[in-house]
Amino acid sequence: MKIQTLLTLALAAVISATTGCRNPKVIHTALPNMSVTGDRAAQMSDGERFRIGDQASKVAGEQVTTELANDNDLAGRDLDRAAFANQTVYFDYDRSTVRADEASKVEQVAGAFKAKGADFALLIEGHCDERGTEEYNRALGESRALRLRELLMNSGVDGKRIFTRSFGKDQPASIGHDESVWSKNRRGEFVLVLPKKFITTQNTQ
Amino acid sequence: MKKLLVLALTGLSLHLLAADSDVIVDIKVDPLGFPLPIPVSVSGYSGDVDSVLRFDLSFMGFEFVSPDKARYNISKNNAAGVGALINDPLQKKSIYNKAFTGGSMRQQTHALADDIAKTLTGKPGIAQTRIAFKARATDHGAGEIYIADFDGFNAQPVTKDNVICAAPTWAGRGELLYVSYKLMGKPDILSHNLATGARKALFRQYPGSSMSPAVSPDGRRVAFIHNKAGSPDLYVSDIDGGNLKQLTTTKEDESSPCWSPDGRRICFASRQTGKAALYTISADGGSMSRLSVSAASPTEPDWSPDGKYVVFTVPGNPFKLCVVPMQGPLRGTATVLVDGEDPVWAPNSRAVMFVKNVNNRHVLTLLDVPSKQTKEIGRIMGDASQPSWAR
Repeated sequence: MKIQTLLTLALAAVISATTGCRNPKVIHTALPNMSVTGDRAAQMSDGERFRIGDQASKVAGEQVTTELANDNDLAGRDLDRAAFANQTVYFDYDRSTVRADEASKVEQVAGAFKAKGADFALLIEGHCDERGTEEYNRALGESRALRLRELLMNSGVDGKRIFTRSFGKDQPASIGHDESVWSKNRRGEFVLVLPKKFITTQNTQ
Repeated sequence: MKKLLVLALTGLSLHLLAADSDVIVDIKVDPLGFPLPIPVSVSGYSGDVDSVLRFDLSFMGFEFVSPDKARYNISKNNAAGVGALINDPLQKKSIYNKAFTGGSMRQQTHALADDIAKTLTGKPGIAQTRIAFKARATDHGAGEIYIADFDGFNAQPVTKDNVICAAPTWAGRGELLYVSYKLMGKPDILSHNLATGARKALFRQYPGSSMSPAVSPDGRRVAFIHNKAGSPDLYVSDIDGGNLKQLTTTKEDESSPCWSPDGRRICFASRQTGKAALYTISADGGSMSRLSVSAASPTEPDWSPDGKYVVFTVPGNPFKLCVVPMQGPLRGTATVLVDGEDPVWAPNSRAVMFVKNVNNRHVLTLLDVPSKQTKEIGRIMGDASQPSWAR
């Protein structure tokens, strides 16, 4: 047990001892002449090569319980952040459940979005306050976004038209270190994704 | 062949003498099972060599005392390069005389520190190891991935994407996995070959976000969080993204996985009960097993390379680091270490690097777990967080 561990440790120490004579002579060890370049990073970025496989919404043999929107459908589309700016949903600390007093905002978004054409989409961005570790908050922000998506789907919105993103605590709405600021940063923002044809029109002008 | 003679075995103290060797290893452990620091004196050095040698040794199980109280006297030898003569006052003789040449003076000193640690403690040193971390210039916005020596020197940017890059983790010595929002404005796990700069998005064939990569000890698999089944769940795949397997199916989110050193289990945080708790699960699938840590809402676990401990973060004002033994009489009982978050073990299972909040700025900080002594890595400008140790 513990003694064995110590023994092992001690054994390793003794065996690793390289000096065996009474008056050891100096042992010289030459290090490789490492040139640690400061410009390596620039080369990395310039030389970057993304190898991206074809996007498939479903992989054979995989059980997908909730089909998410195909992210390629979002590429290059314009975003209208003003459309639902007043419907930003605020969350309690460390919670992803939507408070009763915030639920009406989701209904408003559902009603307005369903009135839009089928070529519009929704992007939900989940955020957290600065407290807590970064990856914990990245997961929590995604839970908040997905919870809002679920409520929209319950209200009849097609889940395949809803994209979710978590920014964890990386993009606070305002900077500060007390509850008045934190309460504004624990949020889910709805962003209207404009139809693809809008881009085509703009590009040809 | 070297023969061993057990001289004394009293309580937690163990004395061994190598009959044909000149090094006596005298190990005493503290209540958590960490070897007590070995008192040494360091003399004859100056400038950077002196400060680097002391810095390195202080995170590898040594404390500095006057020569008359020292178990070993470490002094500068007259050889070319950075070297040391080590005297053992008990045996009244020199037991070590080495010098390192080539490279820079810092590299020579790190090499000497590692060799001293290996000789006197039996454990490999950490002075020549590398870290990766997330850095950003301001309080918010983009984050870029950097790599550096373990003491923060020689920091180099890995990404210059000007988007959020986060959660770096080493996949062997020459490759990093990290999260980048570059491709679609959402979290994707990229693998990045540091020599060629080639990058590959591992899970682009799936809709949704991938985050929090953790590479298995053998480098062959990656545990991570994905949302494609409707909530952030724990997945595992081959290191190239193939053979994807969903491990958890909770309605709430899982986060920040890490591996047991034998590669059989994955430890992670889950909010499945509504509050964060730590769990382990077989890397091949199975049921979640709650990890008892006697602390509220633990997150960001990291399993020590020797398998004996898990460090994690607990919320509070400020947040705190805790360590919980995975074996022995204190198993399941957490000890609060220091204020901070996001700890990661050094390869020697003794030092930890974590994120300290200094006037609302994140500073990478080294911690000697048994003594709770810390030193900030002051060389890095701006905001630095999410350390990962190459081990």
